[in-house]
Amino acid sequence: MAKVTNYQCPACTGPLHFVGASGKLECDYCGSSFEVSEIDAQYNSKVEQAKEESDKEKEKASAEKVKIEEIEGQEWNQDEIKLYNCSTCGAELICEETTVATHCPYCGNPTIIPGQFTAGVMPSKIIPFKLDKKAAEVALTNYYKGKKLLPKVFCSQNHIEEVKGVYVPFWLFDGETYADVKFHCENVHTTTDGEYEVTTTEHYSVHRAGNVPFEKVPSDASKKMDNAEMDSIEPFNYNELTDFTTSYLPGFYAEAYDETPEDVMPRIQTRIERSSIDQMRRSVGHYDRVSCSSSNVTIKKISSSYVFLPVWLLNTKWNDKNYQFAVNGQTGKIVGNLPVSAGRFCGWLFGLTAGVGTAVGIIVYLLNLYFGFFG
Amino acid sequence: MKKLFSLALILLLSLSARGFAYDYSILYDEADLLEEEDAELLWDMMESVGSEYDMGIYIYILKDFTDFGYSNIEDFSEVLYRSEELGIDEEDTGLMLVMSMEDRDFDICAHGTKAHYTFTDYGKKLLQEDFIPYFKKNDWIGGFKAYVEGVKLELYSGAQGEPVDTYGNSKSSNYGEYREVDAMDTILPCLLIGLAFGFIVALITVLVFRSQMKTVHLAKDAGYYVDENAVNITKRSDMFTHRDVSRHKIQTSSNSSGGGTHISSGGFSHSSGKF
Repeated sequence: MAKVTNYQCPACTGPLHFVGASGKLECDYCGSSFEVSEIDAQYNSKVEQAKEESDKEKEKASAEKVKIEEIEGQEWNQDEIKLYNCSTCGAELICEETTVATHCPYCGNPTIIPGQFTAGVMPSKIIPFKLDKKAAEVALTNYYKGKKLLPKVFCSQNHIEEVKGVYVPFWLFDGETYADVKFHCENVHTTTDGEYEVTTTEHYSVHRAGNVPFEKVPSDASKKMDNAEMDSIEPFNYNELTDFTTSYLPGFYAEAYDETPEDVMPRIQTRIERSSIDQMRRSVGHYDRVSCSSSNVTIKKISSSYVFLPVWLLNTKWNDKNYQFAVNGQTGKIVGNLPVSAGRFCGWLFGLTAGVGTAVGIIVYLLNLYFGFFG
Repeated sequence: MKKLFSLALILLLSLSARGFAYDYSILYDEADLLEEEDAELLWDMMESVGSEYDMGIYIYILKDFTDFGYSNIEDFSEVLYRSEELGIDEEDTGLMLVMSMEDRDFDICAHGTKAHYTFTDYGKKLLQEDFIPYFKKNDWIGGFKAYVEGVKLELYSGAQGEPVDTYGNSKSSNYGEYREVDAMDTILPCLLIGLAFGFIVALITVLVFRSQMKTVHLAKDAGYYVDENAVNITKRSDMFTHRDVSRHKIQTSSNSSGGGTHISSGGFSHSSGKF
């Protein structure tokens, strides 16, 4: 059976977890804190050993794999799961194939599965969590504020059911495109000639071509994550990317990628093509009207790197419907779709119509008295 | 030639069907629209208003003004006014309503400085609105009474130094009190315009509110990740291809916003139309 690692406090052997605010691993029990590098030095050998064992086990094929059908009474979307033993309490952990970091459901201790990091699946960089769980919850509370169409009872009846800090696997794409774009441009001049207004429209054929470099265009690499949700919490500050080490994982969940760069390439291609055309458009001088008549964007070179980016996922339930919110664990940007109150929608619509309508009606009436529109 | 027409007019009109004439008013009803009793009542009203405000008030109801060789009712009114030697004082001041029943034409025609001052273009339009709703229902006496009432109110406003006009008529509070029906007619379209505008504003606002409720969207571009300083434009050409020229006649705004009274070269001001 594959090994898991619990990062334990060197002082009291209590579980350690990474704290974004301090950037250190802290012990829940004795309160000691340790630099990431200190813990790395201590656990590197264990992690490497676990990786090696995992590699060997993979070669033995399905020794540790259990077919999903064998788990009675459960339905799974994945074809396969993996079994591990918690190194603290010995309980059996049932994990999905991509799980990298989790919590033991019995003792609650953060658990890392170093065996997942075999060659080729190790993230090169990571942005550690900066926001803690409380900050994510506060972000959600603040997110509700000022939402005029939010049902009043949503805030009062709605309780956060689950808050998970997840290191989401992302591919960051660097590359360059060659864009060749033709535009139809117009300049319009209007003059008067006696009783006539003369409009002169000058037409131009404008051609731009050039190289557009891109740096670190992100795409989440997990099928479990909602692509739109992950796109919406962009951007991350890449200046805080740091070399990956498993010491950042304790206390959070993490998944290995299950979408390859080739899988996500169509989305990335659409995005960079659009921006390449936009860059050419920006280089077009001042015309009154510009429209793209033809475009050809070629990707000259592209490379990807595998990183972990921090995301808080908050799940709530209201009226038997689940609502998920995602908070950028670095910047605090929060996204999530909220329910719309039909009553409030109509109230605002008709209230504003009556208020603004009456005010404008009075103004028009007074203007009419002076200018006689309806005279 | 014109003189001949004038003479013909006098002759024709002197063979009057029914007419009432006094110092300040003439009511001529060739088309026999009014019962004698109604006509007397109306003429009394006209005489009373005319004498009170020193203004000639005339109503000519004809079968067909084109019988006199005119195609434009305003031209006909001017000739009629002169031929009949209408008006009081040395400026021949007066206000005349001419109706031609054949094609349901009318013209309100004013002459003299005081009449032009009192019955502005806007004021004459309001007078039209007084009688047209009645005439459309063939309620002739109702329309004439409303017209004379309107004339009285405008004479009153003029006498106060605030003739009914696009500018300043709102200050004429006394006038406003009597024009409640007109005011209501105006309030309704104003309110409808306001509500339509309000609905558009409200709709845009609630749609903005609703967009705040949905913040999860797929990214469409990667503009944030472009190093703009490193963008290298290798081909750049701007080629003029052709030129289009279009000409549109400038639409002049109507005089409804100007206020005042437009006086013809003949010294008359008009407001004509169909009823």
